[in-house]
Amino acid sequence: MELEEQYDKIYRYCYFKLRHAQTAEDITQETFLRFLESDGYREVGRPLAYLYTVARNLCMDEFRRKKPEELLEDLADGQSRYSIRSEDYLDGAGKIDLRRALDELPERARELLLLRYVNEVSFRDLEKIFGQSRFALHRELKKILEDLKRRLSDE
Amino acid sequence: MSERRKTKAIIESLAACYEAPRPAGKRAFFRALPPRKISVWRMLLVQLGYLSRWVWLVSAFLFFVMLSMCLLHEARLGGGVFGLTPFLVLVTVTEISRSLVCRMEELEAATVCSLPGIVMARMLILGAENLLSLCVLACFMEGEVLRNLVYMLTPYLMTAAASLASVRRMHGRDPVTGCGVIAACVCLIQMVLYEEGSRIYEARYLAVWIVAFVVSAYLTAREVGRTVRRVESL
Repeated sequence: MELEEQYDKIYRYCYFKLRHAQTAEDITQETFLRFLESDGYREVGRPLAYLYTVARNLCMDEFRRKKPEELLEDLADGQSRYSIRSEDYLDGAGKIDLRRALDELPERARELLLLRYVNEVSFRDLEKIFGQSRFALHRELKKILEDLKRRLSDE
Repeated sequence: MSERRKTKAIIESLAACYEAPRPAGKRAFFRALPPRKISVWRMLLVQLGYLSRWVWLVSAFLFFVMLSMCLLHEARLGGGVFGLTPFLVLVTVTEISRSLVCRMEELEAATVCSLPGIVMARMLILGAENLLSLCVLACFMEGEVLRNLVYMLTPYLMTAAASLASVRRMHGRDPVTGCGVIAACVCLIQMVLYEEGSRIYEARYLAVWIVAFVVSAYLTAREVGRTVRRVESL
């Protein structure tokens, strides 16, 4: 596992969770420090799943510790959580706002999409992170994509 | 647009949706990280994977030849087994010196472990493997196990000391020839002494063998130390 490559992905994950660049980077670094300290787990387990679990727990701690409004300072009023430009996704009918469709999805669905399709985390690692079977996760992701497609078609 | 293409397009667009600002402290963070620690067992395990398959194949072949000699011709050729031990050293020393010959010092020195550590780990693995083989053989041979072990380990250690010294002096040239000549010489001396019906394997000469064994062990340990120091200075 290439640590420097994972840094960007963990950072993206933390940013998704916290929406605050500096805090996300602090949490990313803390995640890596904790990961490097725990030799025992790295040698026997799935290191990527461990890395994400540490990041996830640290983000939750941070979220509990700070008020949500402190963390959301990176977003301007009325701005979506997602930075997509509408022309990035096109279909026959015209431009579709994927960003708005994503905003409407539950938090867990957005998290799954990020981990699987953006950070390219394998189902075996997702299984460890979410404590669910890979088949259940596969089905859930398929459903989320269907839902997303339906929302986009409605628009 | 087909459903499948639509799904693919959504998946491809997701990366842009989750775009985050560039992390500012990544480079500084990785530069400030202390060198990663690795346990001795982990290092041995890693080095085990890097050892050439030929080493294991040739060692296994030699082991089975020696074992067959012990089992099939116990009384007459058992002593001949002692003469083959230098070839185990030949395989081991050439493998240990492979990185020196291939000029891998800088590359290995840039990894998590130090180069002397890597060389020591390889010596430990191959030495343990050879010792185990010789112990098994000693059990299958006629006579006392410890005595057989002394008879086998003395030429082994003599060859190891001489081979390591020659590798150190050859400065990165192919060590196979030098070590091969040493192994062949020690083997030949052993074989000739044995075939000539020499009395050196008699019990009354055991004290001489023990002295030779201790001297060889000392010389080998000294050569191991010198080899590691030489690697350290690279």
